[in-house]
Amino acid sequence: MEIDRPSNLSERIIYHILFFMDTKQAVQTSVMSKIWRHHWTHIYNLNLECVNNRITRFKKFVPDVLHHHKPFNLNGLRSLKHSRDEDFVCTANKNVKIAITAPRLKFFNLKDIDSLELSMVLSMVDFPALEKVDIHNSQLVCLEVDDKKKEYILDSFDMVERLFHVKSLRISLDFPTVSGSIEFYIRVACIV
Amino acid sequence: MASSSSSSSTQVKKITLKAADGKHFEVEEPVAMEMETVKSFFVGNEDAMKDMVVPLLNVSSEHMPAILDFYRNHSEFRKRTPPPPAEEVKAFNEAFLENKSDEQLMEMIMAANFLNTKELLNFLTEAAANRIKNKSVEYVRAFFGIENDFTPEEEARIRAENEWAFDGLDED
Repeated sequence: MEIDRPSNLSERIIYHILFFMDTKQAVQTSVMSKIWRHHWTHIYNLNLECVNNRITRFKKFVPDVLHHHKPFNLNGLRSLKHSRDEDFVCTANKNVKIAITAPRLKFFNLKDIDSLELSMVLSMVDFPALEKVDIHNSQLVCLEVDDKKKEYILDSFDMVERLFHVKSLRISLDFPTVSGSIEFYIRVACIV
Repeated sequence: MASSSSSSSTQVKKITLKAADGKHFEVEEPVAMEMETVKSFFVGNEDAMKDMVVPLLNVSSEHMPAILDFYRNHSEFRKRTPPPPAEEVKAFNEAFLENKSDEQLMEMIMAANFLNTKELLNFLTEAAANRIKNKSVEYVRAFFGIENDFTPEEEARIRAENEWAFDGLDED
């Protein structure tokens, strides 16, 4: 009875292992062999948080990864805590779920996503960096804002005016009172 | 380890699993049903009787006891109220991985993949990722048993293309 050897691991297993690796190391697997050349571009979770302590390098690293990665497979993007000074563009299609503890995200273009959850530790200083969000084919766009902050947030939150959505069934603005919280959520769900 | 709590009931149904090398394992039904592959053998298959032997074509009998042990313990952890302390789960998991060679780990990952159990697959693949964490490309290549089929020029070109990922690597 022939049992598979590690050298013929299925792609599913490889993606699983890459999922648990730091993105930087996952990218390095591209030089291992021809078969591995593009495996890393299919991983469903980018783990960028402990890539490099040198922030100047990190600033270049994040957009490079997002540029090379196959966006339609992305369903997780972990904390970009080192990129506080960074402005970058993220484009993601057909995502299952994105959770970002976002720094100064400048532009977010989401096509046909199933769900989006942006949770930002929102200081008013950080937030205006988000300039534009395009949402296509979304079933539900849900913005939840802390009650106390809502006026301030909505005033300063240009995105609401610029929120561009096509075929949305429902947009809801929700203001749960969570005292002391300055978290901000955008949730987007898409018709399958 | 008191994992024999089920022995009090004499009526616990057993399902027989057959490993790749033909060895049989009698497994309590709830434990066997943790494996999607076993479950789908019975669900929607009306001809399948519970006394049928389920063939597991890609699982060596060498790993069956450990895998079953994992299911038994983790399903017990999940059911327990209050939930077990994190240290207890951690201790079990660490003991589980102890003395497992890289090759054994990879074989178990393939078994978990075949058995289609998310929890075990996640646990083992994370363990594999930890074993190669911060290791050199050469080390990772050996870990997966991969042959480098690039020419030195090709490899250098890909390194240059993805220069940003190799940037700042320690030389050792």
